[in-house]
Amino acid sequence: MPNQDNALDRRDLIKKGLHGLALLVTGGVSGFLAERSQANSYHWQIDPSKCIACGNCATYCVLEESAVKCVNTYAMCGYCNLCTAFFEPAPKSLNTGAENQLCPTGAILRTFIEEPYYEYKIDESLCIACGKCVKGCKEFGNGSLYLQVRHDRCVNCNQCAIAVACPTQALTRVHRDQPYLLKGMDNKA
Amino acid sequence: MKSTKQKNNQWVIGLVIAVALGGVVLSIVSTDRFGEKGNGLGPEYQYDLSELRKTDPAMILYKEASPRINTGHSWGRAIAVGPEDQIYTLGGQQLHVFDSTGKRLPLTIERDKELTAVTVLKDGSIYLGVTDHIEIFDASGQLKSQWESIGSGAEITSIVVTPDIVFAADFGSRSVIRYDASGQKLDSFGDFNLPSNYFDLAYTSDGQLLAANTGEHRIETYDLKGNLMSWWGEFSNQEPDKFCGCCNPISFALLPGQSGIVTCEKGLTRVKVYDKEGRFVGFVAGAESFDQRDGLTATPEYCYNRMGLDVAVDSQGRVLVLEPVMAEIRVYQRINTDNSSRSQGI
Repeated sequence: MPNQDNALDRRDLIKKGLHGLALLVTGGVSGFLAERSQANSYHWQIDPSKCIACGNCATYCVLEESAVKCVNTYAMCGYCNLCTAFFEPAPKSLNTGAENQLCPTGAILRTFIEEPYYEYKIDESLCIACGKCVKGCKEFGNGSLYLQVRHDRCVNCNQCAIAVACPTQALTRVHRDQPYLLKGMDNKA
Repeated sequence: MKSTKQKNNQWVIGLVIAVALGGVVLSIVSTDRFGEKGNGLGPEYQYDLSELRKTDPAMILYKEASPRINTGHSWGRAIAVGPEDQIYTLGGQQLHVFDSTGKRLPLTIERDKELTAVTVLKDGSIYLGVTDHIEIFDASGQLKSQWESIGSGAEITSIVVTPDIVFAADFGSRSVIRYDASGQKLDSFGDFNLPSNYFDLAYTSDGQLLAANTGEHRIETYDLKGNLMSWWGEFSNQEPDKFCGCCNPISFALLPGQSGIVTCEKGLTRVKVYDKEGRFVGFVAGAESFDQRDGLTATPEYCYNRMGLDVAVDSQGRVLVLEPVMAEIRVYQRINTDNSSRSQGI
């Protein structure tokens, strides 16, 4: 017949076992959350100094509509009347007629500011990240237009499909505190 | 022992598995995970300047007269010609000097800021734009004078020295600063339309200042007080006699006797000649001759640096083009032909 001491030992054992299990679960959950939190601390982003606007961002993103969009650094932009990112290389005339626009989806909005300056905004709902305007700006202008991963769209895949397909390894991981790699006035062309 | 029905089921299951495996293999093989098949976008998404880069050979009036001169800079910025047709080049924080044959001379000037403009007088005095201020050196490279900074954000891209007034083109303020000969700032003028940091000046022997208002695609003429007198130039990417892109010409120089003006453009990288009235004469070098360099500038290592050509003309009428990416000087000489432009004395 088991004595009283042995019965208490079993209870203790079960209690301690449960405590241990609880600790293990707590630790595991904490570790899992910490790992998730750490993973979410970093995002994919395009380094504009490496990007050649090849167009792969438009078609390799896992999303139906790419998370990559064109952006314009206004501190660099020349506000050109004759914006080579907006107009075809051989425009029929310098107005906003569709036949004169470089962007195949009409995603660049041209607004008169004051003579002779115009502002160029990207309508992100229309931009597919083909990079055509980026090339136009780089070839003739000062490179104020470039591509960035928009984090309100990006699902932050563990392995970004665009990063795999990028011919210049321009996709890099950036901390969420600085999720964009924006060009400044140092990038003169 | 298995029945016939069971055997048939096994065959069907095996077939389904085989088809599924085949599908998996096929999808892995046919998927372009590494972007090797290109972006898959249609031709309307491609940016192609190849037609615009073509030059009519009949319009090319110059040829390279000698081997290219390696400047020794890692990146070229500006070029000028001094006495005895000595050649002065800027790259980074250094100035290098060459004789007229391209032989490197021992004089080197190095400063602690980027050198952004150079002008050399007949007596060999060197006026250097050191980003935000002007420094003057004698012919031996001794510092003679250092003028006050224009201010933070200033970038002196060209200097013109006249007997009484010194002009500095400041990209930062998009204006021309006027100094007296001692370096005292007098005033500034102009509100130039300059989308990128190219802003060149020249001085004519009849006392006028020429300035490249690139965003307007013009060469403008000013009197020495800064009053606009006249201008010429207009935009077209298709017509070679006009200036292309958002902002050209990025640099220019006067031919001997002011018989004409040599201009450089970016975008469609090319060098052209106009007569003194601004009428197009022909090409010094077409865009095709910069294919190798333009190939380099499309790569990530180069594509966001300042890469526009600079130009100077020596007393013999040779056109010296500084190509920044290869950091070399191309020397062009007029081809001896009897066409109409020659009869105009250009």
